[in-house]
Order: sequence, then C-alpha cells, then structure tokens
Amino acid sequence: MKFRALTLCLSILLMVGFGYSAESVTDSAEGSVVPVAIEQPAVEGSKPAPAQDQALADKFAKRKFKKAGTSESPAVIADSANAQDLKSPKKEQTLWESFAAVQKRLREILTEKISALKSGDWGTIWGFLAICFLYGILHALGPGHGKSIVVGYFLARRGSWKQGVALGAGITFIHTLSAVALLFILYAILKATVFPAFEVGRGGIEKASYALVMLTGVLLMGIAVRDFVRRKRDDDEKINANASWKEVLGVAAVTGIVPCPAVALVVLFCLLNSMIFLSLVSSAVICVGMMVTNIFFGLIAITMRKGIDKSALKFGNSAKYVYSAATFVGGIIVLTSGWLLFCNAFALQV
Amino acid sequence: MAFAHPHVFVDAKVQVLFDEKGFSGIKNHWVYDEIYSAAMVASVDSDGDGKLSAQESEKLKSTILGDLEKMNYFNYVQWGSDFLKVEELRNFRASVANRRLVLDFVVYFSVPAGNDYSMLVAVVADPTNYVQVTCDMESAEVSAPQSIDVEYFADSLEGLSLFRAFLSYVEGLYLRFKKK
Repeated sequence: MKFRALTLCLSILLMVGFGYSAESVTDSAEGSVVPVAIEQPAVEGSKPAPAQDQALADKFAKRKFKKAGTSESPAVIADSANAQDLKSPKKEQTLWESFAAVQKRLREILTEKISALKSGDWGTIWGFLAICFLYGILHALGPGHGKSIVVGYFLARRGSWKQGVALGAGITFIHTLSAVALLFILYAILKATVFPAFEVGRGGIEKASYALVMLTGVLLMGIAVRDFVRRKRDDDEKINANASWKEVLGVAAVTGIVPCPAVALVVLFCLLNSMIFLSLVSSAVICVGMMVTNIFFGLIAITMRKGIDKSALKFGNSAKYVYSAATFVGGIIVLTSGWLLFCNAFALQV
Repeated sequence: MAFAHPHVFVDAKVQVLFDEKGFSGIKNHWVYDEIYSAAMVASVDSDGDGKLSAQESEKLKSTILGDLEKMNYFNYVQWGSDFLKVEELRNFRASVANRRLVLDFVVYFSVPAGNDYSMLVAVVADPTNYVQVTCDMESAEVSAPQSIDVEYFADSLEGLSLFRAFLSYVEGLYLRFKKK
C-alpha cells in the first residue's frame, strides 16, 4: 500500500516536472524578470528614464566598465561611482547547456575520426562508432527528436513494454531513415550542392509535422474528455484506454517523418569524403543511440502510467477521474511540445 | 522557447563600431564547425578547388545570410524597449581556414549620440539555438572616435525581459555612449 502511494506521488511529481520542463525556458525567463521602473521623482526639465533604460542604468551603476579605445588611446578600465566590480552571478549551466557543450565536442571528435578513417587509419573505427552512439543518445535529448511525443502518448494510453520499445524505436528509425533517404535522393540529383536544398525540404516537412504533433495532442485530450463523459454515464465497457498497435505505428510515422538534420550533416560529411558505406554505418549507429534515449523515455512513461493506474484503484469510484486526468495531461504534453516546436520555427523575427 | 538544440556551431567575435554620429554597427567574425563548413563550402564550390572565389562567396552570402535576414543576422541590439533592425549589411567576405568556413561582415545600425547617455545591449546569438553561437563578449572590441564617449562591459542577460528567449549562458555587451 505504501509502495503504491509512493508511486502515485512520484508519478505526479514527474508529470508536473515534464509538463514544466516543456515550458520552463519561457517560464523561468519570465520569472527572472527584475521588477523594473522604480518610480523616480520627476526632476524639472528631465524626462524619466523608460523602464528598460532604468534596468540598464542600474547595471551600469554596479559595474566596472571599459572605455572604448581609439587608435590614439587604447581601451581603459574605469570605475563608475559606486562600482562593486560584481558581475551578476552567472546562472549555473543548465543540464541542456552542458549537453550542448558536450555535443559540440563530440562533433569535433567525429570529424577528426572521419578524416583519420579517410586517410586509411581503420584502427579508429570502433572509437568512431562509439562516439556516434554517444552522440545519438545525447542528441535525442534535445527537442524535436520524439522524446516528449513518446512520453505524452504513453501517459495518455496504457501501453505494454513491447509497445514502448516499438514507439521509441519506430519514431527514431523513421526520423533517421527520412534524413538519410532525403539526403541520398538530393545528393544523387544535386551532388555536392545538396545541403541548402535539404534545409529547405526539412523546413517544410518540419512545420507540417509539428502541426500534426499538435493535432495528436488535441486528439489525446479529446479521448480523455470522451472517456470522462462515458465514465460519468457509467458506460465503462465502451472505454478503451489501451494503446493499440495501429495507433503506435501511426504516431511513429507521423511524428518521426521530420528528417534529423544532425544525421544528415554527418552522412553528408562522409559522402563528401567519398565514404558511402561509412555514411550508412554511422547513421545506423547514431540512430541506435537516439533509440536508446527515446525507448528509455517511453518505458519511464509506461511505468508511470502503470503506477498511476495501480494507485488509482484505491480511490474506488474516483479512480476514473485519475485515468482521465492522466490521459489529459499526456495530451497536453504532446500539444505543448508540438506548439513549442512549431513556434520555434518562427522565433524572434526582428 | 529557447532550445538546447544545436545542429550547427559558430565561434563568433565581434567589434562594436561608433562613428562621429553615434552607434553605427557591429563587425562580425564567424567561424563555423567543420561538418557544416564542409556541407556549405561543397554546395557552392563549383570548381571543386576547396577555395572560395568571389562568385562562390557571393553565393554563400545569399544561402546563409539570406535566410538569416529575418533573424537580424543573429545581431540582437536592444535600444529602449525594442530590438534595432539591421539597416544594411556590408563588407561580406567568406573564406576557408583550417577546413572551417569563416564569414566576415558588418551590420550597420544608426543610433545618434546625445548629450546624455544612451544605453544599448548587444547580443550575437540564435534564440532558437539551431545554430549555437559561442561569442565571448568579454573579449569584444569597441572602437569609437575621440568625440564620442563610450563605456561598456559584458554580463549575463538576466533581468532583461526582451532577451528572455535566449539561453542563460548567452552574454550581452552593455554599452552607454554620449557626445563628449
């Protein structure tokens, strides 16, 4: 009993965590906005500084700064009146940022290895494949590689372990295959000039697919509402909260179709070095790496859903609300991630 | 909506420019990662010599920077409560050094200097983080004529709501300037 209650608490915490992480970037940024515009007493003949300028002026008041150099006098460091020479404390590198830094390094190692292989040093092949694998695992942790779809889906629908593996692997396989296929086709037509065309193609498919991801989220939420209504009417026999293989394959096909640009770049780098076989091997290994990540997230979500279902039993009649809530939250996660990805495609145009 | 989702990596250096009138532009020096460099250089290198002719460089300008125009060439400068729009891009040059693609260009703005300080924050980064731009603002250069007084420092973007979409490691260059 204790174990069940614990699972329920943990599941809810994790769900909140996931929901939060999808939006945390905007949230935390908004949360960090310093209260601006301390009202300044109006001084005769001077305009009060706009809010933004006030925030900047405050920063200047606290800092040591440099003076611009000219050709005659080089830059000098000067103090403002009450300079404390304190930098605003640098925010801790988030987990994502560390992953980004590691990925940058892995990419550098990848290029070194490919160059070594090209010069005939086949001794590095295992090292190269290990790096590909690691790169795949880390790369899939970034958004747009299927993770939140898998999580959202299996929170919403009761899945088996096999289905978890299938959806995680399926999304990743299609995600990689579409990149390799699109790149090979374009390469055959355009040869070395392929990459800008790939980017255009990817951009189009990307937006369409993100719209479909949002639709999947809305459908899951619709199912949650429908089941909730049916439960209210005690129409329980019509309810099927289980994942079906048809759905799993459909979700994998629709959301995985966006070609993975990271795979495409590595494949193209191999092709430009006339190593077709290596391009296929490396993309396969990166794919397996990304599968590990997506399957892992799928299995966690299935575990959570199982935990929720078990714990809900002891709520007796209220259990049905818990089921519906889980489905609804799954839908929200899918919808939100689709929406964020979709908006990201148009971010910050000046 | 800032995602740690880098597919392309750029190491950038900037120089902020002032002329007699005030803030006039930012000189950009971008060095791309080797994989993206290979892909892009190959896409324009029609004679396959691994170097970039004037014509090939021009093609790269439209392929890479053409797409970035609506993102203000990743040069986000806050003035007041908005970003300044790049007025002109000049002095574009593409080259290859150490198998890496190097872009040099200057984006022009114009904010006249007054008798009181005007304040700017300059950032060179991709808010979507599809391209991860690493730009060390501590080592940014600022050059101004004798008649303009410019003070600056590098710091995080914390507290600036206009930059909330950027990842937290992105630094800005804070500048204030006036007529001497």
